[in-house]
Amino acid sequence: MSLQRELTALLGKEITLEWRNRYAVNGILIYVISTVFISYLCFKKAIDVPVWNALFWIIMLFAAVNAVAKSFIAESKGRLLYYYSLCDPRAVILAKSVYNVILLSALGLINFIFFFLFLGSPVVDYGVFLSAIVLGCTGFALIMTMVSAIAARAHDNATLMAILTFPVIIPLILTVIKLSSYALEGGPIADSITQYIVLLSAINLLVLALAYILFPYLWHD
Amino acid sequence: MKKYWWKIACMALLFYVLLAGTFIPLGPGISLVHPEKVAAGDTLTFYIKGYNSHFDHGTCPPSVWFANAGKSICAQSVQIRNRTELEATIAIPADVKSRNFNLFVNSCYDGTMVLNNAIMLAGDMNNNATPTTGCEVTVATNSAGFHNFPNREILYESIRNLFYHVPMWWTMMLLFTISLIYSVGYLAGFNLGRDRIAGEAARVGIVFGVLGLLTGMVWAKFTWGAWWVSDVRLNGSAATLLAYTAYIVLRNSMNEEQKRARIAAVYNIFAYMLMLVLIIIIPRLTDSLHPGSGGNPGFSSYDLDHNLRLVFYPAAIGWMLLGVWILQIRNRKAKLFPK
Repeated sequence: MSLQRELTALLGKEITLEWRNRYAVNGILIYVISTVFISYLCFKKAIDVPVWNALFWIIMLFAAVNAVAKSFIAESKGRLLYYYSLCDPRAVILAKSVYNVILLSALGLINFIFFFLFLGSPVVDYGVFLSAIVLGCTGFALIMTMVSAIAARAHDNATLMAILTFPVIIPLILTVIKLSSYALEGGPIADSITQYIVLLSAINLLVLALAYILFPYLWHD
Repeated sequence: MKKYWWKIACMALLFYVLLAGTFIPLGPGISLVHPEKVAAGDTLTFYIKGYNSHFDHGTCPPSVWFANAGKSICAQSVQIRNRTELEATIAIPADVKSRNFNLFVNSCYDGTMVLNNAIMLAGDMNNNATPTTGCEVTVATNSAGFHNFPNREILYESIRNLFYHVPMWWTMMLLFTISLIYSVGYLAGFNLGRDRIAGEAARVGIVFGVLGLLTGMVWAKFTWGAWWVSDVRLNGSAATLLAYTAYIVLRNSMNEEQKRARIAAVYNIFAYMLMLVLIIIIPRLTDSLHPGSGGNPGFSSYDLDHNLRLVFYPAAIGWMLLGVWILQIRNRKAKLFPK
């Protein structure tokens, strides 16, 4: 099979599996909604713009860790062995990455909707904010897919996933918080939006390239 | 002997850095002036205290003047008390144009010493006062030819920390880069010896990183007034240390050697690349208190003068050699006593 066909087959399998039980998606959804609701109860709407921004991305970060952690850890050993014998490792990592990008981007939008409902929205520039959500969630998904592959190979525990993720996610989260602050009211003067968009895209490409090159080494025992 | 030349060089360099960095004095400067508040039209006697100055040396007596909005206000009389103390009687004119006065003391022996914003104007500025003309300042260049470290405001004696703080980071980056190279090398040939060096280099690098952080914190407390400030450089270095601590945790979580080596190597390469983004690219986009980023000049551009360089470069080379030396010893130990 060519890489492209393997990729589509694996991606289809991911989505079908998810659609069949909807356990993970619903769990993460409730996770996000309840976190936003608890924040609303704690803050009582008296929340200023930088706090809103930081809270949004922190909730996004933790939801993302929980959502992506299962992508390799939840796979049974036997099934992973089956993939190994069947397809190119690059197709596996690309399929998982693409699936997680879709999942997290949707999660980001849902997170925003519930923020909008409960905590209000200081967003003035929706274009910039949406690009921040899409680029940021893509970055989260790409980094965390790779790290969850590492964590799953090391020891199947979620603590390791968090320990390994947080240091490497810092450059991404700093950049995305900066970018989304441009979209909020009272934000800095929009003079350098493009450079942050370019930086975010560059980080995403870098991570994708690293995952593509390095994942085959995680593969064989 | 031939084999050990770099270790001897390392010891010699660090010994030199320790001696020179501790005992070379700071250049002359002004540490204190009293009173600090004046009113326009006053004639006051100012007590001036120098630091490492030589007021009673030299062939010509020190001249003292204030600079206020581009105009010089000279002392009417200067009395030398001793090597570091002066008294100068200065008449503040009625038509001062700025609230801040910079104090200058010039002598043939010490050259020109400046204390910026030495005194402040209390009360109102009188805009209707009859304009006066400033005095002519005669500046003598120093003849003694000092070999001192520069006496900078805010930094003062803490400038010596340059020989410890900055080389620690350079050594850390060197060791992490060695770790990266050996991780890539491991993936190229699956040789466990290379993995061992990668792991040990990361461990030694963390030690140097922590030392860099501690020396930096002491320096930050002295110059910025806080042990930690939220700053891209500081946060970046803290994140780097976190990433490598995570790398060590990851290594320790596995027992099977080949598997551990492969997975740790993958994480090492992954983390190193993202850390490059964090400590090289992002600080250039954001403002920072730290020298070398966000419009703050690094030491190299104007602060790092000739005398500092003469100690700083040996310090950098010496600490890096020490880091490699420790790595060599740790690697041998790990080879002898595998876990």
